[in-house]
Amino acid sequence: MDNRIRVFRWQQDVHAANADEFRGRLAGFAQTDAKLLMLVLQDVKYVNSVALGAIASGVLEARRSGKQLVVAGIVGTLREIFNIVKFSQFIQLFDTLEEAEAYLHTFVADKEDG
Amino acid sequence: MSSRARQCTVRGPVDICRAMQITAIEAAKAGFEEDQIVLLQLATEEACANACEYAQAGNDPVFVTWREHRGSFMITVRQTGHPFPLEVPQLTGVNTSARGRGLLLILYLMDEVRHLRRHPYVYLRMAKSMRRTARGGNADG
Repeated sequence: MDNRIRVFRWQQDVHAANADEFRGRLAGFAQTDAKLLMLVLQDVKYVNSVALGAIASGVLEARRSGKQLVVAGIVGTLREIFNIVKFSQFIQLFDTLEEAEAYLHTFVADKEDG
Repeated sequence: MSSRARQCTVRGPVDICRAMQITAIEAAKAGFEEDQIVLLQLATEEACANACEYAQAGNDPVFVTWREHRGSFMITVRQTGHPFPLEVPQLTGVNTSARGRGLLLILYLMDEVRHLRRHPYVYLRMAKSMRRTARGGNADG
């Protein structure tokens, strides 16, 4: 993984008992000083609406600070949940880490060209 | 479960997780596949969380019941106080805020969602057709 990309890997389903912890840790991650951020959920098959809200907030907070936060590992039931709430319309979602990393490289290249 | 309903009491996050586990058990018995079960658990959690929030400002317990009825897997959440609204403000728009997705998930994941009022309780009745499950298919012939 490119060392300019900061990764936050969450490996549990997010439900009523741990959603606050997820929200707090993701908020902290979104505030790190790296410009390229990747949330990895490849081992997760379930997130509740609190987690979805935390992801939306984290992505928008990062964007306001000139950062790019993408989400990788979105497959199966997680993809279905994200589709219901139409996250693909304002969040960069990827099936794999490799696809997410390639997108972030493009993002950096565009910034450097611009 | 077809002979009698299963029920549990929900007072907070730990109980909500228990209700989700019961949904998984009962949905598996009803013949739902793994991915469908996960989504039924999500509807259960969101309904319980909303009911706990609205049940007399969170002071009264919420009761959840599971049963099969006429080819449907039914989850009923009973609470006191006011029901949470069943309208999604912008079904065609995109919600980018931190809140307001629970009801959208419930309405999307379940085939039928409705409120019933029988004083002093409000019931949220959610049904998912068992037609596509192994058992539902057999029942339909």
